[in-house]
Amino acid sequence: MDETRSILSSLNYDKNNKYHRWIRTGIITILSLIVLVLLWWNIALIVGTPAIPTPGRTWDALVDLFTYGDAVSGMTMWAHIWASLKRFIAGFIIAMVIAVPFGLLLGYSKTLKEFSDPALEIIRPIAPIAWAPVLLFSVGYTWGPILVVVVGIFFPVLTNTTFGVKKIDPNWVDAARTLGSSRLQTFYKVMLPAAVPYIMNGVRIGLGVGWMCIVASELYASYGGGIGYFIGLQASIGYWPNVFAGIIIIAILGLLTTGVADYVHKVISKRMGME
Amino acid sequence: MSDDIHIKNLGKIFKTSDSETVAFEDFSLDIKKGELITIVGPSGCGKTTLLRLIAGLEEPTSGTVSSGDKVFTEPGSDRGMVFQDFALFPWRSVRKNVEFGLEVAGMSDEERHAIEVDHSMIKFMEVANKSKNEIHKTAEKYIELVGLDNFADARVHELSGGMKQRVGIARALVNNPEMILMDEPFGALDAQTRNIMQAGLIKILDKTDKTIIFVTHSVDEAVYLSDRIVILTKRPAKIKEIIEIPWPRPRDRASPEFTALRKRILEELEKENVMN
Repeated sequence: MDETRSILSSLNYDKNNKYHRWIRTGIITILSLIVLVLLWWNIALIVGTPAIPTPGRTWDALVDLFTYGDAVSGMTMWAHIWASLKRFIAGFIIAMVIAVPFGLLLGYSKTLKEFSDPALEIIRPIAPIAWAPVLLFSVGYTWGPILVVVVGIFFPVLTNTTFGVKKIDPNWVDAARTLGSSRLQTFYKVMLPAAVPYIMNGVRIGLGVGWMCIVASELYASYGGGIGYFIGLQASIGYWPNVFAGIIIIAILGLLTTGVADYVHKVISKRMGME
Repeated sequence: MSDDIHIKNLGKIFKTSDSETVAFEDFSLDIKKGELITIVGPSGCGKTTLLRLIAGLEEPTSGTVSSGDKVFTEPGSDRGMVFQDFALFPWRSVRKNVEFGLEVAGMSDEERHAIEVDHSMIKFMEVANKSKNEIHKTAEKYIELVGLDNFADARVHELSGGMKQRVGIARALVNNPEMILMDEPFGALDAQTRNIMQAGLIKILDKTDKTIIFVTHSVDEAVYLSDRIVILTKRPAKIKEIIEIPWPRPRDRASPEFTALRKRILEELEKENVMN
């Protein structure tokens, strides 16, 4: 009885109480998820197509898949997840290694930016997934999906890094130079760290795009498993609860990666007093 | 060790596509070693530009700034600078801000020699370690000098304006430069903090004996601090008058001669502004 009352009263909560704030956020989040599941349930019942299974059947499929594995490809779900994750991480690292230094240079050199912009502006609006057939055919099934992820993450990180360099307080550069810093030292001791919050913003956007790329390119054609591959395979044999199970796994993985990126971004911004 | 600074026939023209601004034309000034010289003048007369020219952050259109046989053409660790808006690196702690100049200076000749004599990796690590310790110790000394010992590990955004500028001063001093260029360093501070910082600067000066070139809007500040005050005219800036102040520091702001001098300089500046 007391429990119920305290939960109810927390809706009329005390803003300065951390415990109250947590409960409030928790309740609102759960309500939001309940509404989502109910909507899904209704749509599944009203539309009545087998392609949209009910939440209950999807849950059963998830439990089965994690208990017995994926019978069609003979892989466990963890193997599928790991296959996608590996591609994602490889693509992410490659994209960062290219996009960050290039973005810093574009922010630094006006001439280079003027030279690169026309070319970049033509390529940027192209949906990264449009490259999938070309990349898969030319570099094969191992590197193809990875390169699609690279394309997807590259542009948001590049533009945000360049923007970050443009936002650098010119006094920081002047201060560094009067302290005896060479141009190269100014580059990696001032411009790079000053651009980090902006780079992280690009990473947050890039991670979302990256997940879309990995699933789409695995769906298109794949080898050696992956969540996109799993979804494609299950759809081709018409086992829709498993397709939905795959979709939910993607949602959770995406949530986890952006959660990590958000956290890192927050910590860095806080350290730099930029909250 | 350090010499007088000679500004000789300095000219600076700022060009944009449709206009030309002459900031300086045939400007000369000698600054004595170890003196505190303030530069005052009407707004927009080029006081900051003059500092930036000395710092090497701007290139003169003609003429030179030199000290001894060195002609200053680009920034160097022999000329420290303190900025009005502090220009601290917010991603670094107080300590790391102060250490910046030492980090970029790299190894001393002595240390490089030690590695060249003995080529081993262990020796290299030893020297690198030792130089790291040296950096810590030197930075510590200057952090103490400006009275921030208790805030060495604080982050920049946690400090008050006055504390931030103390970091700025320590950071500029750490390379042991010949001169410190101060561009309205206390301009962003409230009146009370300003007075505290001025008194603090005098104390630091006594301990380090640097040449200070100080740009300010505040005549009160100039009279309180300077050995000499240079009054500039409006653009293109010429020297209107140089006033020597032989009084010992710290000075009494309420004394009749202090107020009289302040009044006279204010009147001079007023005339420049009216002519605009």
